[in-house]
Amino acid sequence: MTETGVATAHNAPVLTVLEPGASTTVQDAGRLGSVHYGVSPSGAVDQRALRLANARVGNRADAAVLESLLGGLSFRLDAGRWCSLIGARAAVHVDGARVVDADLFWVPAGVKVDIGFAERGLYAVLAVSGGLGAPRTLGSASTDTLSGIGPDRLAAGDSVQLGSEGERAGSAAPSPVIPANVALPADRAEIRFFWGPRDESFSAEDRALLLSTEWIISNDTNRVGARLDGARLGGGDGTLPSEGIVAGSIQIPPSGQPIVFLADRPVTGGYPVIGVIAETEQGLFAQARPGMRVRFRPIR
Amino acid sequence: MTAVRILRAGSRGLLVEVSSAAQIERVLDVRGGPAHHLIDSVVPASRSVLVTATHEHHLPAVRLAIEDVLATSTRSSQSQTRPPRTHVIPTRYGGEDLAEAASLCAMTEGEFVRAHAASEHRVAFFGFAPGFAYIDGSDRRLELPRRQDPRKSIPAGLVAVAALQSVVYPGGTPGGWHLIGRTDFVSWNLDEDPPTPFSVGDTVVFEPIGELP
Repeated sequence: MTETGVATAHNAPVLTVLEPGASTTVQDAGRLGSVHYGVSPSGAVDQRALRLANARVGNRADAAVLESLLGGLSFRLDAGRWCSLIGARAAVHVDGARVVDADLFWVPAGVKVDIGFAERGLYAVLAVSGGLGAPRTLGSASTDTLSGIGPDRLAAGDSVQLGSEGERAGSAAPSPVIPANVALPADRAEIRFFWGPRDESFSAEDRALLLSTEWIISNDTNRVGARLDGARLGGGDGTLPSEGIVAGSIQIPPSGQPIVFLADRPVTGGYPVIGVIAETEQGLFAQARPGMRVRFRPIR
Repeated sequence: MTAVRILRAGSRGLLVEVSSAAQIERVLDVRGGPAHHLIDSVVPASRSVLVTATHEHHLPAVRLAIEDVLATSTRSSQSQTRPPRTHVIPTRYGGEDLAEAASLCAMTEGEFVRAHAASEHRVAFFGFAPGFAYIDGSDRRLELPRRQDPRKSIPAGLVAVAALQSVVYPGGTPGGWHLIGRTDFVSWNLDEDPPTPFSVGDTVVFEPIGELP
């Protein structure tokens, strides 16, 4: 690599991970065409953050990004690129200098970028202009942490190819229409949900408990799902034959402890789903940190 | 025909609860019908099909399309995405759990194996894990509960049974079914598109090779 950071003819420029933080994976819009083969869609847990970060750097909405759990990620680029950090809020330093607006910042070739520990929110999406060239499986570069499909979690020293800058589509600057960042849930956030498909297999008391409880996001929370503390519902009528599960499903296993299924969920399950979080609020919900509280508000 | 229920599943999902395999195949026909461009995914299971629309405002049209295919007495030939195939699975019977499975069914190993090989197997649906295809159709005498102690990771190609279903393990999943044989047939390969030769409705023939017990 030359001093100006231009990649040699033999080596495509890469992003090199220096420190991965708690967990960093490659994500995109997800593995959407293989659900009927038992393959989880995966993809960014907060799809709002994926779309906004990509828009800010001029990428296609579904371009591959890095998804950082709780920040702490540091990396270096072989070539200069625009970057955007959307979702969880964390301090960003480029070559030691604090970045004022992490939603769009220039990263020169060869310098160290430090994303600090997330102060608010759980997942931060890092988009790089030109996208990332991670290997694709079944049409997606996303890591499925449940089945292992897709790239491994990134470790120190790992690298991901940088896409070619080409002609940027034009960065989407914040405006009254395009927000500077995605909303993060406040403590005791109200999350809207649809009843069903199996709400009728629960007692009236259980349905009331779902609404009245201040649910606490437990530590047992990851890309597969968020387990909730605060109350136990009676199990439903016992097990069902397994049936398809959508993202945002609030499933009640025999223990009575609700689990809200997220991106890496199994695509079928045999325990009843009492409700499903509205799709537009799934990203917001997924950003709730362990210890935070949420309440469920029914639609209609 | 037993009543079918169509239940709301979140912003843009409909869970279609059915009571027969024939009804499942009917619902799958929406993928090839006039509403196909409004549908994101169709996930069959043993007694249901989860249909996801591309957008919430398409749900009424998708619901109508589902009701239409269920009301039709014959399946339209253009609605099948591809004609059903037959897959021959050369199987070396004799897995770790065969003796116990046969004994639980009050049969000799030989009787068990012959009954399994002679059954009319059919790919019913995928679920539980990527590439895990539930194959229906086992001889009624072969009904078995799952094993008490599941195994952590089953290699690809092992043939197993539970309830009245069979599976050719895709590899890398845990498993609680009874291992009765193995095959070199590749039922799951992430480097291929599609990653499996199986499709719902396909016929599966377990063809014994080598010495039968």
